Amino acid sequence: AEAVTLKMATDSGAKGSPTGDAMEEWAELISESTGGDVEVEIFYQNELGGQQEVFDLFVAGDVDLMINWPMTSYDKRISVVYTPYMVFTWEEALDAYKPGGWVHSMMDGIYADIGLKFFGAWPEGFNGVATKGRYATTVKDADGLKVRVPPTFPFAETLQAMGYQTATIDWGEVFTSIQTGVVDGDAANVIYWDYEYFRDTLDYYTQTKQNFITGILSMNLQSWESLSADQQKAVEAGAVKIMEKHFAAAREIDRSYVEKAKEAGMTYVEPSDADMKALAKTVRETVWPQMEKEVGAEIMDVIRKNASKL
Amino acid sequence: MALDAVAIAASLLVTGLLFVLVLTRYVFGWNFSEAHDLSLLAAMFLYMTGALIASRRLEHLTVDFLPSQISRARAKAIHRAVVAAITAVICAFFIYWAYRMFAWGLMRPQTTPALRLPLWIPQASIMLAAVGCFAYALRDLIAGLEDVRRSGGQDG
Amino acid sequence: MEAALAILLLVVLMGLGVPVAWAFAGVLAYLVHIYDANLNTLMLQGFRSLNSVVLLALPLFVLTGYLMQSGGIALRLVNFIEAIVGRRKGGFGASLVLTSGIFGAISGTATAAVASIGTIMIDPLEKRGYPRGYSAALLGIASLLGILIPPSITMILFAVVTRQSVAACFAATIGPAILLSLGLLIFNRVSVGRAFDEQLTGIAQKAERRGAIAKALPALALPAIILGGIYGGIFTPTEAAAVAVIAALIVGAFVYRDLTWARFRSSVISAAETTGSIVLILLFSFMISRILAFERVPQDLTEFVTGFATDPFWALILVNAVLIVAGALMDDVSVTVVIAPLFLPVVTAVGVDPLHFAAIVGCSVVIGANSPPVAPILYMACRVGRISIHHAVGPSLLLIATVALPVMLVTTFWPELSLFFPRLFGFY
Ligand code: NA
Ligand code: NA
Repeated sequence: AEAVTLKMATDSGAKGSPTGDAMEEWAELISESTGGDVEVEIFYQNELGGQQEVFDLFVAGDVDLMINWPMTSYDKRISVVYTPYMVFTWEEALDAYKPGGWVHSMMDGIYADIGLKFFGAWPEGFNGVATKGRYATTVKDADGLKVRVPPTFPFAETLQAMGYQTATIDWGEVFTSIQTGVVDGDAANVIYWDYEYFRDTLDYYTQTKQNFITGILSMNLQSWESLSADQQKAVEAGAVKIMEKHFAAAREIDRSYVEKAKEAGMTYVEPSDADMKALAKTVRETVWPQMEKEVGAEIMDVIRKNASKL
Repeated sequence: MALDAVAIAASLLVTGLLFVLVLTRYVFGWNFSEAHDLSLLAAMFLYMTGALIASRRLEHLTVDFLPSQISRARAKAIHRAVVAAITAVICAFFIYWAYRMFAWGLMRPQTTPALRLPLWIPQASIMLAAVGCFAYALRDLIAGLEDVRRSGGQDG
Repeated sequence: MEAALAILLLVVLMGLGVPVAWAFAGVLAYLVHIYDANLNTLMLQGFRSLNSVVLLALPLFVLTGYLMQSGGIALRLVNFIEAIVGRRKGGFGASLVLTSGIFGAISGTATAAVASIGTIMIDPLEKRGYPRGYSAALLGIASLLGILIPPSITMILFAVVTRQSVAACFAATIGPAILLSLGLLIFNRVSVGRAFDEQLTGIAQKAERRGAIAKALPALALPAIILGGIYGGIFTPTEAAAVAVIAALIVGAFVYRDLTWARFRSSVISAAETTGSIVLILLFSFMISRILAFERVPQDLTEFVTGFATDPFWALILVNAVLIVAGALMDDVSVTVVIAPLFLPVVTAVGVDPLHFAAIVGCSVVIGANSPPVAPILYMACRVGRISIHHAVGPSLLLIATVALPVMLVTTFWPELSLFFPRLFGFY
């Protein structure tokens, strides 16, 4: 086969970060198993612009491979990865996202429609709500807490169903507004971010687990089709390998940040099983019908059929 | 002028939408998430009509070291025509780049995050600026050549 | 080679008097050609860079500056400061500096300060013995306090292109701003009696002074509202810009009643024009940066510089020199959006904090906007002061050498000056 150089980029990690290291490993796996026929050039976070800009380059084929956050501007159905309360444990999440898993099959179809090849997940973990002053494990307690949510559907809708007031604040102003107190907390992140940026400002991290937060490993479809069958196999096998490795590692990383947050004086709250089920029930009842309007009944039927039982 | 009206309306919209966003969040705790989509849309038209107005009034930021050294009327006129000609050629590229953005957008259409407005609506402002600035450059080129001709008559 | 040709093309186009925005677009056309850039995404990338919530503060803070002028806010501030310091030795020069500072705490640009403070103050200063060239030069530097004291358009642009927090960048230039104010006040105090004699004529009476102070209260409420709102957690810096416009409108139209519909209209149009010309430069320079990023120019530059300037001292000296030379040859917007992001990886590679670098860039803009041949703020101060440029160049260079440059060097080699306020507000 002909020798090619692929461009790989991320929107979520500098050189030396877990994502940065994983890109290097993926690149090496590809190079090794093709005997150097496929080389990979890496661009770390922000080197080619912001999230949306790099995703544009990816869809257009200027970038061939990515580990990135799902972006919904080309196809609103991609927001299905943000469906609240789909899975409850790491095992369920891995089963859903690995090749042959139900989320994998669902996403593969949607990604193909915008010209991308879906390989798998790059998980961060289950998210929660970090707040100042008080915390909530029930809809009633959340009343009056104003939290920041990302502008993507259905984050605001999910947090509202959980009882919070929400404020959409641009990514560029999130840190400022939480530090100055424009909002009382941050509501869609895994504990890592809230520890890293807000441990002096926010007092509680309540792991309500409404979303399994994950990046996506994928490839531009035209670039994919330009590879030989062996080269394709090498790229996909590399993706699956770093994904499985990261599923184990991410869980440990997440757990270690719970400990670090506690040491830093944040209170880590795990809602009781009953509270969690009540939250999940309410949120599913409120948000899933809204999602159906956005992503269609066909996709929601798949979710209803496969989502973890309450 | 229509441009002035657009610039005023867009300025008021950007200001008003963000102000209402602050007010409703601070006072009522509402999430006026459409404010960003709408104010960005208005801002794109504010930026591009602003650029057009600057072209119309020849107020674009310019390094006027050389022009300020030229004193003869004929030389001034030639300089004006040359700058206008260069600007027109560059604006033609600008139009072509904007056109390619639209062509790509037809193949891979996108929407804004909150209101799901088609992305070509804010992008249209860029095409407006490209075409308008090209037209003003032509205006300056014609006026410059006219001055060259006239000052040539005076000198000869 | 390509890079050298691109820079040459830029210099030739700008030198010819082609507007800066089109000069950048011309360089972009050249780069697109030699690097065979993908035109499907070229303009889309430019569009993305403008379609940013954080950038919304730019048009709004520009508009605030114009409204302060047309709404009579600037006039009340000048009268207020004069009432307080006007009777001391060097008092009128000092009031020019202090008014620029307070003006800067409301507005984000230097141009609005030059236009309004210059129009109001340069004639009275001359009556009291200050040479027009001296006043124009002092105003040229002092007006740049507006971009060091938050809110600041330079810092908004810096934050947008380098993906830093706007509020943190705002806080980083407060320390240098205080130092620059002190430097200017001392310079002015030393000049009086040496460079020229001050005549204490036309000093306001006690009752007049009390009146001036009372009338300034609504104007003085503006910086309190804006900065209090940002750091008190009521709104974000972007939203603050909208609040500033509304507040300036209310004070100008209903409290001072200077803001008529006609003046409002012309302020909005002028603000749109200023914004539009900045934004076009931003648009094309973003697209240039993206092509350079694909060609790994920032990485190569970092390797090159850190290759021979291994310790932070020499790397910083080099970056300072580049910023000053670029500032002499380019306008402030270009330096902020092109040079700053290119050199951010260089300075972070030698351990400089991005916020510290933000303050260095801010100081370099103070010098660059006043250093010939390309000195837009100094020239504007001369135009407003109705004085030919060569009368102001001498005093301006003296001010740069004895005040602005030392401030930049202190900022560069004493990180705590710029990091103190970000730390105080919890950003660092
Ligand atoms: Na300011
Ligand atoms: Na300069």
